[in-house]
Amino acid sequence: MAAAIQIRNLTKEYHNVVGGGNFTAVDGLNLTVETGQIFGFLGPNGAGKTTTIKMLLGLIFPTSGEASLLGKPIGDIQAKNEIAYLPESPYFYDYMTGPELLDFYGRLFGLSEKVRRERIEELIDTVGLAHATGRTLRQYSKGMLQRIGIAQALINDPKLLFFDEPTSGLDPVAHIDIRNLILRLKDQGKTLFLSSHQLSDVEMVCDRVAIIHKGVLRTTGHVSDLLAGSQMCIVATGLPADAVAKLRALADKMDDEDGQVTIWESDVNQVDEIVDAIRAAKGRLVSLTPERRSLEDIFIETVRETAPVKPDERPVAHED
Amino acid sequence: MNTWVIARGTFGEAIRKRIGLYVLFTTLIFIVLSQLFASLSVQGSIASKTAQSGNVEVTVIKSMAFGIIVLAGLVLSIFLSFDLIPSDVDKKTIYTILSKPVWRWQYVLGKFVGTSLALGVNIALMGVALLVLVFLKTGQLETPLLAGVLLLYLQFVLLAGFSIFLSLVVSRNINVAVCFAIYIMGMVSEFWQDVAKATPVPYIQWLAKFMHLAIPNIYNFNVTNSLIHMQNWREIPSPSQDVFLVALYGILWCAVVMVLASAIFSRKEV
Amino acid sequence: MTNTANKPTAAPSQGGQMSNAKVAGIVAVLWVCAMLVQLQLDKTRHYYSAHGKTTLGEGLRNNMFGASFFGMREVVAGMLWVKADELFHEGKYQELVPYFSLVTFLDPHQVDVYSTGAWHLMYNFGDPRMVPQGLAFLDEGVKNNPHVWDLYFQVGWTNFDWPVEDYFTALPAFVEADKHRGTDGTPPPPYISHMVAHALMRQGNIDACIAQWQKNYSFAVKNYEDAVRKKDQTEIGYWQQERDVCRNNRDRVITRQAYRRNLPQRQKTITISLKTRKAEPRVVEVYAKLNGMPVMRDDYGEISNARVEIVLQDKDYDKLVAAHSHDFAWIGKHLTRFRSLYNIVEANGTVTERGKPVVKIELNKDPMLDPPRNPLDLYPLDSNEYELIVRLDPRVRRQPEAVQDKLGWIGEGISAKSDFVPGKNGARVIEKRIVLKKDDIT
Repeated sequence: MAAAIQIRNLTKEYHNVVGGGNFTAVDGLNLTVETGQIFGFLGPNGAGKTTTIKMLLGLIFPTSGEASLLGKPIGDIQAKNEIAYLPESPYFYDYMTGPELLDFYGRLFGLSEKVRRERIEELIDTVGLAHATGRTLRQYSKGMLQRIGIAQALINDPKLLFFDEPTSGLDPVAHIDIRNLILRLKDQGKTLFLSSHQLSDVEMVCDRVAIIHKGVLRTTGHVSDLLAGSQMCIVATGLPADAVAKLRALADKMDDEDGQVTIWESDVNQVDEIVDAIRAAKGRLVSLTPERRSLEDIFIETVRETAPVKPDERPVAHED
Repeated sequence: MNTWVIARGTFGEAIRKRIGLYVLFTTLIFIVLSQLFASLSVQGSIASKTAQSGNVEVTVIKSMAFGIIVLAGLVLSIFLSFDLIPSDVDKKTIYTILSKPVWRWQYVLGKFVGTSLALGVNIALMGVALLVLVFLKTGQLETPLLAGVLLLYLQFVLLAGFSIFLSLVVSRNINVAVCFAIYIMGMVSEFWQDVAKATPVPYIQWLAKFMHLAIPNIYNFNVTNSLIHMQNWREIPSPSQDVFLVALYGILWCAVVMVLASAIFSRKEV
Repeated sequence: MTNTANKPTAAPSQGGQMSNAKVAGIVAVLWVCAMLVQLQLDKTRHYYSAHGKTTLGEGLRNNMFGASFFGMREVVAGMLWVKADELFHEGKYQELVPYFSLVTFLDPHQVDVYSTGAWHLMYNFGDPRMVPQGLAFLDEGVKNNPHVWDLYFQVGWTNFDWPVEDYFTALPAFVEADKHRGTDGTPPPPYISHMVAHALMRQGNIDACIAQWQKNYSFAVKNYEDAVRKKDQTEIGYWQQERDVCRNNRDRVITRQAYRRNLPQRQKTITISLKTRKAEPRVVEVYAKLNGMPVMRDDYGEISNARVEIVLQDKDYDKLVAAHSHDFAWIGKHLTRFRSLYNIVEANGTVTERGKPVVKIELNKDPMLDPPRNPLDLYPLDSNEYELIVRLDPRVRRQPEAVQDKLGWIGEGISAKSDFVPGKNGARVIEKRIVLKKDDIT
């Protein structure tokens, strides 16, 4: 199956007029999102997530590189018929009622009145706003605005959806509703590009994730791959001092406390060597357990690998 | 047609905007009050004792009503337009629109058309108020007044176009200031003709003539003086042709502004 | 905003954009088209211009003020006009005059301001020196409003009436007025064509006058018949009356013409005896007698008295005015002119004022307005020589008809031996001028 999103060397540089100097918001990004996947696009604030999405949607223009959505180059107006976008904390024409707003967006897709009517009714129900159809958006709560935002994104029955921080600032109930909705969309075979720093959401719904930091892609992979087989935790006792020293050289990380040694090792071959070393030193192997990391661990690890961002390197006009 | 969808949305927004309602309401009140003002000011003067006292009164009514329409139209055309696109950008509404199959030019043109429609409703109401007022005073339905209102309307549409265009390149405050400057400069554009007449230096003459032709001559749209004194209107050989030409002029300038705005917006990162 | 995006290098059809060259091309074509339309518009633009040729307007364009008033020039003009009216009622006449030019500068198409302003200048101030200014003001009004009858008529009337009494200037103005519609677009009223006939009569062109009345009569008859056909009762009444007036006037002139036909064979010799006396400084008493005046009776046999005009003005007043044709400030500051129009000639030829056989020229008080102006301003008496004129003009409107029955339409009953001055069309005006020194007055 063709990739829903193909990104090749996508770069966005901002030139600082006042200070001189360039700021690279996105730096040579390569990414492929397969059709039908829910793709989590992770990174701290200012990492370049929204910049990437805006480039993909043709709202801003890449400095270099290219990308395609559903096989069509970015900016292609036809491709947009199959695409949806829900920006972070969107704000709509607040003099309209929910159905009016959906009708407005439906017209932009050139949907017939009949189709619009059916979809609006269905979507209002799907996002749970049936009780508020007579109200203008001015009277909507933040959660309701997010729901109508999702509804507008779905009005064209899109194949590819971009959700930017879809759960930010929502109460827990809304949180769960939206998570369920995303899973339902997945069931319908839609491709979702989900940008978030809400790791728990991503972890539960995403097939693949990419972590971006300071404009550079740090990690990408299936969530299960990233999380599974990550490292072994080896606990042993009764080891002589020279054996402990030998193990310390072999292990990724080691704790030595009251004669009990705890070793973390991610390399499988290395695990064998460690176990052999423990046995050879007549030590007692207490436990050998594979340890699953959370996405959060990976995220924090990835982000920590890079030096903290100096204040003057931070983008000024760019917000993420 | 997406332009039309955007236009309808913009129209709805403009009509519901409080400032629009306030301006319209105040304007209508003032147009009605202009009658009171005129009769008060003329009453007791020598003019009121002459057979033609009505003339001065009707003149004052028409001039004042037209003046109020110009003022209100200026305020409306600029204040309905200058923040349209910036606020869409600020509130991220624009992302949901431009991520849909909408060309950038359709968005800009839609905003322009929607504002023009909203202005149209406002100005039409003011025009009708003027017509009714003059009818009550003179007993004559002076329909040519509507030609004057129509051309004023085109002037406001052009200004709204400028304001939308400027909102893409400058900040809000500068936008409003520049719009008023365009209006004033366009109103006194005959200045260049005077310069051309007065100067003996050939290339300054040439430059002044060019300036007169090149800048948006807002004064073209103001034919109200010939309508305030109806006798002047009747002497114009073919007013309908002139109205047509001025309208054409307005449309051409709107096209210039919209092509530029679309081109800039297509290159703009939002 | 400190960051701007670099120019996108790889942005195929981003947002559907045209190339810069294409945009520039389209804009250029539209722009040139707009300029061509502007060239076309400039041809008829003057019809829509707010500005006229006004005394204030030299080098100024009132639409530049228009921009600041957002087009409400006429409102400002109207307010200034009301202010001018207040000044008139408060007696601040000197302050009033500048308003005329200011108001017409702002709104040169308000014909009422021109006509009312001219009436102020020529009639209401009682200062004959202001007549040239009033005429110039009307002239400006005509130039700015050439398509309506109103101001042509005003020019005609003020030349016809006592401020000027020049029927040869009045006639073409009335004729022109009769060709134009009013400010409300209605046809010129019939009284304009009446004035054409009256002016012809005062010129002494009696046959042309009768022909004009006949023309007016036919016009009224035609309109009357149209009204009858349309069964419009208001119109029927109006044109019936108009028809009768024209017929009566025509017949009256025909009758008088027959009556006055042989006046050249029955000419009277009329001379003027004239004496003056300085009663007190700035007060001159005029003792005048018209010798050889015939007895004049009206149609009912009652005695009719001729009216005599007495003028005291700078010697060569008319030449001085012509020399300072548009310097009204100079005229108002340096020239003196006093006019007394309604002095009665008694049966024995004595010129009387209010029943007394003496006409007082009082240069020590304001003849007209309250609060009074300073007589030193009204009558500066700047020259050393003045002329005192005693005049009996048979043509003027204030003469009873019986005067013309004896002296003729234009003085054809006045003999060559009389004290007279010749006028256009062979007119004779009984007149005597003497020169007074300044000492004779002050």
